[in-house]
Amino acid sequence: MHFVCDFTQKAVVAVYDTMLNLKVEPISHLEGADIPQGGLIGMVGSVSFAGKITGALYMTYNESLACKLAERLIGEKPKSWSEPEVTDLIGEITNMVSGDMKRRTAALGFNGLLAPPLIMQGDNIVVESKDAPIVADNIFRIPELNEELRVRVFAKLEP
Amino acid sequence: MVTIAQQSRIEQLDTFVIESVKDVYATMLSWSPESEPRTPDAEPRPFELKEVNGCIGFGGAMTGSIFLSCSERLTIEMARTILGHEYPPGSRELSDVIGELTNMLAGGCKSRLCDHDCPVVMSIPNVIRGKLIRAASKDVKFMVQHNFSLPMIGESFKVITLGKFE
Repeated sequence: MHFVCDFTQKAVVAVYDTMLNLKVEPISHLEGADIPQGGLIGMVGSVSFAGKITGALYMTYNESLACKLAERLIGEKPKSWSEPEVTDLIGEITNMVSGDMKRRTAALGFNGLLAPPLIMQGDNIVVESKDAPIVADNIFRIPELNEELRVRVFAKLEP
Repeated sequence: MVTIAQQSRIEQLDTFVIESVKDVYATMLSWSPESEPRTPDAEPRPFELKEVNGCIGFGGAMTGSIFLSCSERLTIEMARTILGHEYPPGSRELSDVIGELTNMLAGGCKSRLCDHDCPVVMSIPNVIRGKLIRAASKDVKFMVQHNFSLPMIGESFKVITLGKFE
């Protein structure tokens, strides 16, 4: 496994533990040409990074997971996943995961600056990257919530 | 609420976007897109994307993102013009074309920003395709959406820039 992909997995596990007190388990990891070609279903949180490491991270949530996470953090079930508190939370989690990954890659000399998080919703969103030699698709299980989370990363390291 | 200094930075960035769009379309396509008036204020708000979008993130003195947002029909037309009319472009070619145009557009903005005492770095381009995509950003101070029309082919596209100046 490429170290960027390993750091992505570690970042997801660490942020869910710290921020949400939730254990997440990586259950699937694919790299390069093996990653699935289909679109991402649901709400997508994204953060781009640029510098010695450049690329983007995408985290995909279905409605059930997004609402469960919001309820867990806010203490109240949101009326719908389009509520600002839900989209803000998805953006914040993506930001924290990207920040944790960046901290780990920076320790190896690959620092990057983060762009503000983006949150997207739509029908069958397909994300691709040009010029990203490091591509990974990870699925995590969240046993306590009986949900799954997909995290995709595209990255390039600058010498 | 943006300050006067930030407002002037936003106006400057908006000028850079228009200049870069015109440069890129003239160079790559020999087209002259017409700039329509931009959104009247720069308040961040949720926005809609068209079917084929290139996106690049910025970090540094300005952090944010720029989107080049096009219909599928326009992207096919751009791919045919750039790659030649012999073969119908597939999804890979459409992604390559929108990614490259976005890269050039963001590169034009980046070099202009750097020349004006606003050093930034940019990410590699990402391509986002889909239908009825709604997007929003957290922690940004401005959002500017610019529509450009292409009367000769009866199409239009938009460029959305959002972020904050440090």
